[in-house]
Amino acid sequence: MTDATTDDTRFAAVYSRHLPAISSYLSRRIDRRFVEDLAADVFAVAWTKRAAVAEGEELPWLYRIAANLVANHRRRQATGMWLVNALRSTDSAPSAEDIAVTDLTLAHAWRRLRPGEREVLALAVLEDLAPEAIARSLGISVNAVSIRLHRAKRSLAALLNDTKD
Amino acid sequence: MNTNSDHLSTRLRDSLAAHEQGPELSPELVTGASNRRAPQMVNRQRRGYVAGGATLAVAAVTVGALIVSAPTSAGPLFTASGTGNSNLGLSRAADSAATDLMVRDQINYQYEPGSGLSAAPGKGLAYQLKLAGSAELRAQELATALGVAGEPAQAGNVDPAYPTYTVGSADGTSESVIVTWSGTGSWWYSNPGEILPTSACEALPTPITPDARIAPEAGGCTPDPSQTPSSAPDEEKAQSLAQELFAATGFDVPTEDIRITVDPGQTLAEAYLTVGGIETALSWGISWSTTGEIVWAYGHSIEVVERGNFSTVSASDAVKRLADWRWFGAGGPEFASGVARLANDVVGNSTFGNSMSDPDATEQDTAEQEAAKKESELTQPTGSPNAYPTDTPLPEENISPAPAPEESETVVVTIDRAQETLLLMWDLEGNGWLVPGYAMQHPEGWWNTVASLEEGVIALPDPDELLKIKNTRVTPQD
Repeated sequence: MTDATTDDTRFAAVYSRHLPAISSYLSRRIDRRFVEDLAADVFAVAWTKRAAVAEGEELPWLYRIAANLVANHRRRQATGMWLVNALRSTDSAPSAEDIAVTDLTLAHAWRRLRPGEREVLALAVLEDLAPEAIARSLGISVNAVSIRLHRAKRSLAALLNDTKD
Repeated sequence: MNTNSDHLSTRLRDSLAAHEQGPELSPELVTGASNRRAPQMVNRQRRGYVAGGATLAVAAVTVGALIVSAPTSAGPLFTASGTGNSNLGLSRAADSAATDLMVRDQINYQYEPGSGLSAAPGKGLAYQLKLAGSAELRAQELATALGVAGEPAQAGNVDPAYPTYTVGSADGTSESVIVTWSGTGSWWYSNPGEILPTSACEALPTPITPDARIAPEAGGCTPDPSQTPSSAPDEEKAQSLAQELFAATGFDVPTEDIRITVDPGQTLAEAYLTVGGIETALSWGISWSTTGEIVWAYGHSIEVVERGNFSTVSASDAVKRLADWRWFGAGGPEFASGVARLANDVVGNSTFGNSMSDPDATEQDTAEQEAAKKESELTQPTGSPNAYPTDTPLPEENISPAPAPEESETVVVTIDRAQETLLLMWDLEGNGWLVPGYAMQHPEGWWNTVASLEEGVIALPDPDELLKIKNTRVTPQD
């Protein structure tokens, strides 16, 4: 077996188990018809940088790649603000419209959160990541994650309260 | 255990239950990863590095030239895409049409003109934004202006109708300039190595910095300005430097029209294309890091062609267009918040609230950083820097119970203030236009923008046809 084949096999063995998680992550953030394509891109990027990933840290790293791809995808998809915001940050959290299907009040509050707050809440609540994994995924410290998460929950609760009023 | 927090989490999970399970993906996505070309990702927040005064050596090229052409004698000027996207206008318009219908199912906004609006029709100039030159030539010109070594290379894996040329690093790991030849021929430049001084960054584990093309909100280096004195230019110097760079890339703008924002992590210069004395949605920008180096810059490659003076409807008559996304056009920075909200309404892309688009964001963010710092001091257990702080218990009343599914709701919005302006619109081929329009202020204070051209001057897409296109489009799963 050549080194290349070994590398391929190892990569497949490690990363295949994350397919469902990446599928769910993408499905919550983009139109379903784009999921497979973006997932393929996620793993293509992961392949090119596989040597840099420590064992056990693959999933947060995949989320991070996916977040970048989702943000870029949304830039391409966005209307209205494309020119104004194309060169500015675009978040990769689930959209308010996804929430609005069942909970309009929550959707209004979610929309008014800052992008960073949405993202950290989504990773904690929806992807069920521990703060350490969120930190790896967002590229910030665990402390920063904790603070951002705390603020996000507080903000969301306050916004819900405002909406109720 | 925080019951309120748990309740909130549960409510969020429940709300997204329909999206919980993604499609089953083929293992070939992983096993075939080595054979798939990884997408070229560009961190648009991290671009731009200018090699000092070298930029002055380049003559202005294509932007801002005002060319007058004969007005059309028959037929519409163009067919609006109904979207703000320059690329693949037809496809995007189809998406918007479908999304618009979905949003309408929940809230039906009914717009009414108030007594403060004029009922007098008028006239207004329309302009076409035409790509000037060629992508390859433009890439070379910009590379010279920005001090990037190398020859233009065409990016693969892109629609040949919209070629993209790169000079410099192709993978985003070092400085590069990229030009995309569609829409307004937008360009951007990055030098990840100059993003921030190492000492000003939180330590990042190597595994999670696989590339430098990371959206800011998705992570990256978080600056701690207190650690390093900023060498970024002050406001006056930044204006002067920005004017030089903009001119070198073909955009001539008076110094006083360049907005400077100074915050602890960066100094940002922005200027908008002004046509007929009106700032448009088209912007150029530069950002310096605390090292004093430019970390990103962007702009466009257009000439402005006057296409005629056309009749416009009154502000009062234009109000009804607020309910029709096809009349939407992007206004200048004065109305950007309204643009953002409207865009959100149309496509469900929650970009509003983005700190970069919020003129008050810097101050607000600083205040929040202070608040967060205090909060951290209060909630962070001592002796354990990475410990997870306990949430402050939230008042029970802050959590409203999950409501029952709501019926379609009609909201009447009365518009009492409108301002004439120029709006950026896209045609179905992805070309940009500046057309007369109104910015209409909602009672809550934010703005919506709609074109004011009389019916027939431009053609509007047929929503039914767009939906057919969307529904028959071949998808990867097909």
